[in-house]
Amino acid sequence: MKSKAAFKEDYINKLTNKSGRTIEEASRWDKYHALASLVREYATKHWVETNERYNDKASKQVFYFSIEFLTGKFLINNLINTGYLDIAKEVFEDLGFDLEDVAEIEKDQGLGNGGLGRLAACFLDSMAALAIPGHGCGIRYNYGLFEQKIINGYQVEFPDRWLHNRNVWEVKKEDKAVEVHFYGEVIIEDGVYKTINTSPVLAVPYDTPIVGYHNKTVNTLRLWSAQTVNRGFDYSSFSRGEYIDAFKKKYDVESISQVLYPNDSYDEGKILRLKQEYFFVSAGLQGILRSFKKLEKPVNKLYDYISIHINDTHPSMAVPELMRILMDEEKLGWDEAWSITEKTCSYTNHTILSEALERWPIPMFSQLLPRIFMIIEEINRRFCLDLIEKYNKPQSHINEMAIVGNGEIRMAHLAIVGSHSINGVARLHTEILKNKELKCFYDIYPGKFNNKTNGITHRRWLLNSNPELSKLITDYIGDYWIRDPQRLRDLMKYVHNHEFREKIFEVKQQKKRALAAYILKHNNIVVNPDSIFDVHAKRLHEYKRQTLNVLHIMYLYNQLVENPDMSFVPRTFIFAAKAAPSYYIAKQTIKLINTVAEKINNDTRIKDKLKVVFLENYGVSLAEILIPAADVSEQISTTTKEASGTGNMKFMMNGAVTIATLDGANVEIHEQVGTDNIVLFGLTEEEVYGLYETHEYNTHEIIEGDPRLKKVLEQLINGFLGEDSEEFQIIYDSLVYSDEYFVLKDFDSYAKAQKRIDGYYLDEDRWSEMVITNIAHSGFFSSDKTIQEYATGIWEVDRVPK
Amino acid sequence: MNNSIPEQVLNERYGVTLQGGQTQFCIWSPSSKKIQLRIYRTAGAVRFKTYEMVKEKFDIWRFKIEEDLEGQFYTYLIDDHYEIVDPYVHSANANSTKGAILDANTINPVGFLDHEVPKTIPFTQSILYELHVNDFSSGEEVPFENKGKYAAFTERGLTYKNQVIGIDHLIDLGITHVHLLPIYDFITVNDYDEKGYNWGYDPYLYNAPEGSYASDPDDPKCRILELKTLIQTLHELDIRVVLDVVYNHTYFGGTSNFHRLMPYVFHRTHEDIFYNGSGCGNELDTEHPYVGRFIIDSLKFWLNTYKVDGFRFDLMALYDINFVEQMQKELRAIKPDLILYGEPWTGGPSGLPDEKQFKKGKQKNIALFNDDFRNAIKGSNDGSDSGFVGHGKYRKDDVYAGCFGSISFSKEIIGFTKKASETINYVSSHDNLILMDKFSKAFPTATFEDKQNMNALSLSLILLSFGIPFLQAGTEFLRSKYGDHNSYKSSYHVNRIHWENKSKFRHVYDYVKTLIEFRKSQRVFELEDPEAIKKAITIVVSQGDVIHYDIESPFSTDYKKIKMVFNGGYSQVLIPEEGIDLRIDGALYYEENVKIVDHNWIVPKLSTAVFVSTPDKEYKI
Repeated sequence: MKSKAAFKEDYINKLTNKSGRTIEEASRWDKYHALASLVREYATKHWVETNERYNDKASKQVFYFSIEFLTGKFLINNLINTGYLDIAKEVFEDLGFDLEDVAEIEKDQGLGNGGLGRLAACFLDSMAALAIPGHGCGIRYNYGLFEQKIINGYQVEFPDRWLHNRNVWEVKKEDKAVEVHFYGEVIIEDGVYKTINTSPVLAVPYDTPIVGYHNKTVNTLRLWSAQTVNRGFDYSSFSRGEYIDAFKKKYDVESISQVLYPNDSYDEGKILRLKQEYFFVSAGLQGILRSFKKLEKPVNKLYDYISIHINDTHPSMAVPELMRILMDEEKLGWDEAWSITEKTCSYTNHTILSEALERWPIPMFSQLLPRIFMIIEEINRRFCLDLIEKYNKPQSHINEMAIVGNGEIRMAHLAIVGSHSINGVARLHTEILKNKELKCFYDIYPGKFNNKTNGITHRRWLLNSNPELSKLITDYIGDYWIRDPQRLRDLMKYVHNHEFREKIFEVKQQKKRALAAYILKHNNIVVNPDSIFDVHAKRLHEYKRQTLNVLHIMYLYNQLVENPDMSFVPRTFIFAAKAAPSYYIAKQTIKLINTVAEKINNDTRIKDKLKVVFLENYGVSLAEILIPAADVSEQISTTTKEASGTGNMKFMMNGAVTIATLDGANVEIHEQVGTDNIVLFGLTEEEVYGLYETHEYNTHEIIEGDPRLKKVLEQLINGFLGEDSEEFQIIYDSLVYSDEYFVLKDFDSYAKAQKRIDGYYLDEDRWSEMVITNIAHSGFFSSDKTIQEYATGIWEVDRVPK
Repeated sequence: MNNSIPEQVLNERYGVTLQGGQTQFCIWSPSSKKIQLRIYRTAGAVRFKTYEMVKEKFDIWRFKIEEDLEGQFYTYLIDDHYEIVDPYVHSANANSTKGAILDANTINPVGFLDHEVPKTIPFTQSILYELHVNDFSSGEEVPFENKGKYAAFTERGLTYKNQVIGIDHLIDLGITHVHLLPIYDFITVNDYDEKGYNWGYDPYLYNAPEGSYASDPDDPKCRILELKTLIQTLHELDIRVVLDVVYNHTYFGGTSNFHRLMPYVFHRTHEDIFYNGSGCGNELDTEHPYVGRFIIDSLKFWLNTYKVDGFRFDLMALYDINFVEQMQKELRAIKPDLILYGEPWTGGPSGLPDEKQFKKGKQKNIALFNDDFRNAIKGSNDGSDSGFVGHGKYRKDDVYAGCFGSISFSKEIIGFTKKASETINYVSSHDNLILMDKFSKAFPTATFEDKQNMNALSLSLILLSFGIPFLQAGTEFLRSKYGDHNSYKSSYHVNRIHWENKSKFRHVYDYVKTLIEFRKSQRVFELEDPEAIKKAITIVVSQGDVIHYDIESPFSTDYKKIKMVFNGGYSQVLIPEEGIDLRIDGALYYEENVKIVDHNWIVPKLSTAVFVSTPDKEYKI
């Protein structure tokens, strides 16, 4: 660990050398670049050492395959993890620099849509913190999730130019490049299958260090980038006079790692997405096997040294690809290869929503990946045979469970069949998988199914984002919780302590004031930090029911307009969300929120009692400002739809009270904090399934029976909002004529729950108790704990600390 | 309209009282079943402490807390249903969602309590200048530090494009009274909005200053201090302050705090229908003893606590005459030289019977806006017609009447006043088209110079007539509002005083300043007694659009004879030069002025000329 003086000297040298300027002339970018490079340099030493450590001990390593990694910014996090944050702050102060200002210039690495990608990032952080040999494997998209701007209330997407300035954190490893093959024909040569006449693509890895917290362990996030095999373009095309074709090929190839698909549902028939999936799976596995060979261990014991984790179905091709490598290159027989594959691979299911379960049309797939398809067909054949012979399943079950059927390949089934472990991400979710969605598979493979409730890294989400709260906690219970977040429980000792309560309140006020300043700056709206900050931040999706929230806000507004003097606890409703660009109704919901906001915020009659804010461009960095400032956390998905949720845990950890349906991990949050410290409402799991089964759901009845609801629905289309009646017709129609997500049914329960919150908030003592209880029990949801469970329960890897 | 209100109710001290470490709250509410007092610690606080008010005899509600809560805030929750701000508060938080616990009498800038107020002058010596706080100092380029705020009035030494602006301009111009558009708390501007604008005829809290003009609207003391500083600054520069008060309606009618406390008492209603004599939705029932008492006490409060020098009453015909009589009596008992004036009309059909309305003819020691004179000079407020100025349609006798103080001058020339101090002579005010815009509309093809002269001529008639002259701020350098005839909530771009025009139209400004200097120099303009005025004036009969008369002053310090010539038409006027010398040349043309040609003074079209008898020419000033 370097001294402050040494750090300062190193930094100044870096700054002047890299930029070629004096300290006074250095721009903000220069300052950032120098600091980031310096931190990476310090980390590199440990990085190299960590890899040596893993190789020397031939420790089992986990490779976490995910098509998304939503890591956010690295600078402050890495400063914290390397232990240099305080020193860096001091050095910057000495030099007259502003660390916070300089850190602003780093762009979020936003290579993910939402929960899935962020989970992967939290997991990487925990694996490093626990010194578990775990590495990430994904795609280095040139353009991550789009930048969202709100123009006239609508979402408008702009490319995410995150690589516009250099990415200081990554290291390009050209020598580790591998070829990934697409198209071609399969032949047999010397008894072994080969694919010839392929279109090869060069996969070049870029490694980013994942620094462990204070433990000299640095793992790797390897992201693959696509290039043409012969650098530059196809000279043969060029010389044949096919000028455009020469460039086309280059761009075709490079397009593979060009952009992240901004979707939570899969893009039907998008061949580029399929290429992406195979691309990183093949590249990743090739790299892994190559390194493995260096250990000189027997390949049939691969699973003792390697664990491949499939995060959602996107990397499912790991199963057939591993088979291909084992059979075609390592020359193993099917059964042996299959046994190894199954023992090596594990799969996490993240959703039950059918639209998100990937299916690829056979013609597209077989043409693109002939050998893989062949293998999948064989896997399927053997599987179906097993179903008949071993499990005595009727034909109907086989049709349902087959990996290949109806002209499609079902990737989820492939992952399930090829993995030794399938986990859901919250207890309820796993139960639903076992009892409903994947019941058939559970029947035949009960041992494979297990639950691993999601978690979040408290280092980013508490230590980094909320240093004031972290310091307060440490002042009262010491700093052991940083190593073991479950120790936050000790805070319960002070739950009735008046002084502690006041300080908790003050920290929250500080964060709220900071957010109020942010809102003023970005949205030009004045909000009252004394009001309830009610935050709904997540992807925009019908199942997450931002619509329910908005309708309720309209209802509150109607009440206030009717009686502006009513006794009303002032609220600021804050939304942040991106909608998938092709998801029309979601985008219209954003327009609705902004339209409602415009109307309410400018209505002086209601005397600032209600404000609505939509924050642009939700991402990791915005979340770091938003979450610590929340009083109420909206986790109101239709019960059974949200697999787990992870935002809920972040809010809880930062002292917000959750208004929740008993869905996803909310169930476990409820268990942890008790019924008094969470505000529940809405249909239960049984009631939801009951409604599905009986087909008795009648929206008309509900609307006619509830004049409040009737009024707000009409207001969507009668010009009340000042917009064309056509604008929100789609939302109106979807609620009134189908209401798939039971927004109308839960409206009354939700409104009552919100009223209860008013009462709790006014009671200072009650509210403090709720807040402290939530913080104290949030350690249960630390991703450290989750990773421990994965490590022992699924991957069977050990910690390898220095 | 209940006349049997007990004396105790009328004499009770309402609002908040801080004394001896205690805080007491008192409110009258004849209809409530339950009133809860909520105390909030800070301006934005959401949590509060609740106390149950105690109902005493005659529906007076009271609660006393053994603590000095000054600086905190409070509201009343009526019957668990309405949370209101006490209408008696002296201040509030931003956007007036809570009342402040304090007494404005104890919040004073240094030196305010015993600062010197300007001396008493005869009413007819007043020169009123109507000004909106925001208009005075807003705009990106003007050098005010406190744009649009009370504090802008304290900024001295400001210049813009080489012209003196701000408060120094007021001193230079020579006006005697600044008449401020509403500075009580009105609800239609968001206190946090830098660009918010409204004239303010939307009363909410009558006894609190408006928050958006304060530098910190959440600090309830700030607005009080800054307003008092404004008043003190003006006083110390010998300028008096008149407040525009609007006790004829409240912004909220059926949803107002008054209505919650005493339904159908505060406003004029018939069963549950609100009369709308104000055009804004409701009217106060001045005949009700409680309401009359509220208003008079409020006026006395402003008089005593803020030391103002006068009130201008909006839509005064909505006040019943008995109320006005009582009000005047009580106010003048405190300050006899208080100037009081108002608009002698309503804003619509009123619930007050016609004979009780305070209209022209009913005034006694209160001046009224003279719409007759105004219309005679320029025509209608917003139409394309015109009057005397510009050869329009008018009765010459009306112009004479106006010039002579609207007294009963002769059989033909009759005005509404019993004495000249009862008329407010004006030609332009915040309502309707501002003078320059009116002329642009009435004379779309006129040259700029002609319009400029029309402006000057109109202002000359106002400043040189008997009665009390009233100027709208900025008209002394041709202020325009781009044709906006009702700019009550237009942006500050439209409403602001364009100080840059002072340099552009410097000659007009100089002219108006000369008029004011002249008026102040001649004691004859003080005359208000009809007989004295009749004696002093001799009309010189003239054809066409010419008003020509001579004044012989009874005061030895004045010019012996002053000859006024107002040429409202397009022909020149010839005046024999014998025995007179030019005192003021009101022909502001670049190439034409009042001059002698062939032994005659030529007064060009659309111009004023003031002559004095020759021996006096060298007479002082």
